[in-house]
Amino acid sequence: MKGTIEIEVKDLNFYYSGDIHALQNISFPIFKNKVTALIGPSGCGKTTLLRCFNRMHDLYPKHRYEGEILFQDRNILSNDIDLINLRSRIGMVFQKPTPFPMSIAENIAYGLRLKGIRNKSELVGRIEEALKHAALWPEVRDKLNESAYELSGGQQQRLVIARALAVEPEVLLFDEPTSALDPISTSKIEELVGSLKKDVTIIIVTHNMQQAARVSDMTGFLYMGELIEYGTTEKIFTNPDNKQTDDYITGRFG
Amino acid sequence: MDNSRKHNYFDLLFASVTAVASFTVIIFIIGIVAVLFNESSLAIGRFGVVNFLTSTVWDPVKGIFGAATTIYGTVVTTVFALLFSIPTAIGIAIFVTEIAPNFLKTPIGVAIELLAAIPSIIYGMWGLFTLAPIMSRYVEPALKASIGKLPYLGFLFQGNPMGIDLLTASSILAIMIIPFTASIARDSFNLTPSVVKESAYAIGATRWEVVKNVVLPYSKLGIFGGAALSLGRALGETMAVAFVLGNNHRIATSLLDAASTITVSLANEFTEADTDLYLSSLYYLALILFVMSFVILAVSKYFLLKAERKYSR
Amino acid sequence: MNLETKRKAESFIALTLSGLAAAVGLFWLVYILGDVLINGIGALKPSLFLNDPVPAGVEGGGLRNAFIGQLMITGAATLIGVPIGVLGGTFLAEYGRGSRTARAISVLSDITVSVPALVVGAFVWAIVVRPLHHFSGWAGALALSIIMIPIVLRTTEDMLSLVPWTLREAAFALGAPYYKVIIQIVYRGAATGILTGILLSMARVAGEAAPLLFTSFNNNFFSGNMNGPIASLTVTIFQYAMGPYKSWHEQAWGAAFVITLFILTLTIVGRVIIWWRYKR
Repeated sequence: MKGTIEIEVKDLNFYYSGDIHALQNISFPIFKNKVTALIGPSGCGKTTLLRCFNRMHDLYPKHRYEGEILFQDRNILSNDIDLINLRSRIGMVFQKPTPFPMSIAENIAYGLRLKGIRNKSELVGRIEEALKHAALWPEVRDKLNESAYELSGGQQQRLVIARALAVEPEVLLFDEPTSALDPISTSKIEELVGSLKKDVTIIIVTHNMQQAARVSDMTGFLYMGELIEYGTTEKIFTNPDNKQTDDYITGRFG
Repeated sequence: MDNSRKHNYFDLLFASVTAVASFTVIIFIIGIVAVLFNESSLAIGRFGVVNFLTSTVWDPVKGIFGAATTIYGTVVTTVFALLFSIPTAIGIAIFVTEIAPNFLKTPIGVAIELLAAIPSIIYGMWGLFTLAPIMSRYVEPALKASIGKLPYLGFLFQGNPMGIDLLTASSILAIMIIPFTASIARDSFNLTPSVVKESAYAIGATRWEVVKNVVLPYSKLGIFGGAALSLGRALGETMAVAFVLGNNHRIATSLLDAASTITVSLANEFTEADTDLYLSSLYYLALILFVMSFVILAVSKYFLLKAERKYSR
Repeated sequence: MNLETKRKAESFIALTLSGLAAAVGLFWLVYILGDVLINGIGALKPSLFLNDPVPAGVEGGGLRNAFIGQLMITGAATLIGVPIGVLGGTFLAEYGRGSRTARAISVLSDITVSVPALVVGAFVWAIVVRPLHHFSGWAGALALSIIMIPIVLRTTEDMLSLVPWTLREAAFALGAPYYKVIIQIVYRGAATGILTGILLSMARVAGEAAPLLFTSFNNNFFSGNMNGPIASLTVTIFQYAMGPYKSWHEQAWGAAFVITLFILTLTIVGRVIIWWRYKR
């Protein structure tokens, strides 16, 4: 299974807190309009890797990147990259729902306004579109002006996804998006991820192997800061080349 | 991208504005020290340091000034105030955290917080109108007739019980800092992990043994810091004592004598100082007060931070 | 008497003593509040609020000048102190977060909160009153704002730190620059807390008399001129209570009642907001 390469990671090394070597020589391609899952035991570096794609580490001192991440042939790790522009093109959804302290509609309008969209009717249209896109519209259409904190956890998470989608990113990063949710909400988010890939490229970090198997096309297994194996999800889960991968997949790990 | 260059510019601007705003605190502290030092330089030059601190003369007419009487008054009122208030405050804190039934805990806690918010001028005025007459009519004659007759301690209660004296001033100051000290002590008590308390109860300790052997040792840093903070507050207090101390520059050995503190002296004489040297000497007093309270407050903050670090994790 | 009985007795005695200490402490405080309430309500007459002071011995004087003056000075102090305090707190919790400088400023602010207020008055006298050759309402407001800034700064810092960090990351992930994240997201999340801090700091400075003695001084006449000496309730209470006239004492009680009521109301509103916002 191949396709257009959206992002190419080349010899990526990452250090934080001065000298902790969190990611080691990582290289792999991410294909356009596919779902790529990153799996591995806690502390293996999967979230650290994810947060390289939108340079989230730059918020904190004492970090260092080495190598390249080519996004549409530009190295997003270079110093002259505009982070604000980068982050509006590569969106992110976090572990716990992060609605802002505003109404449901305002939450989505927020990102749009950042992009410079001020026209009222356009905002209204884009809010509706984003909420439909995130499969939340029927549940919230009558309470757009209520506080986002009134929603349930699963609804909040879909609202956050809608907010990320509204700015029309090319890539969407998911950091264990269902770990704080109940099973029903989880399955809704998973369906959503599946339906979104026709519009955006998705990278998802999950500690739940079944989830990775269900939603992803490609899977990367990380262990101790290294990318042990990367391939189609089918291959990784049925016939991995590496013994460590096999042990982890079959639950014989640690 | 023009838009993002604008962002960067605004971000830098906003960061700088907030940084400048936060630096005002440092600027004020440096400014206060510099101004107090500069204003008192005349008196420092004339009277020196040791001589000023130890001289008991305060004579505006002859232009001779010494700080010993006001420092003495400041220390005596503060020490007696702490002697009265700290045991009471700890008692309140024990009562609120360990003894009071649950339905009383919140109301008493709230009452203490509210009482800590009442401005000191109210305490001072109440002292003048209500406490001073009570002291001069009942309490002080009784003390004079009892402890005043004893050897060794008798000197503390000599003279005319007027109600405008060190004892009344210390009492007001004590009443004023009780709620403040109690609320810090309560917060320190609450830092004791409940698991530790429960395990002490589980081996059959009585309530008092839990307080004595678990809660107090756990919170001693916090209580010490809180006491130092109260000390710093009491040292610099003006209005609670200004009404009932009488501004008399002398070393009074009896608690029934009028005296003065640095703050009372400043409050009464500052706008009346008619010579440069007089004003400069008052600033010298202010400088001494500032340094004293700053050091004590810094010590208290050190202990409170240490307590927080030790137990809040 | 066996050991257990002895231990129980000891516990009973110690706890009774601490209960007594609590009772004694609370007794005085209730006494003070009750006194202010009883004497203060007796002194509340329309003339107290509507008239200006009259010469002692003449009937019908009031403290209109001091009420208005107090509001103007406290209001001006708030206008100076709140923006600086909130912005400064923003630096400590956001741009300077975790840095040595920010921690040092935070600790210094805590110390400054308790520094003698009278010394602040003497400081402002030297830098404002003497160079301009007259007492002024602005000088009083400046002195109060110096006391107010560290309080607002610290509460703002604390309240901003309570806003979950993931909320900021979520805004960054949308491509928002930091200043927009702070102004549009973090301030919103912390708004009630910051407002409470402002209310409590107003309550604190509204009762300060010491820093006003050398700055705004006092004025027996009505004045709305912040460039000249202006009356305040607290300084008036000091002057009237120490004065020899019965009518002055009565008005001092009235003023004490009003200012206590004002401060307790601000404090209670602040506490209720905190309770409502953070406990639920």
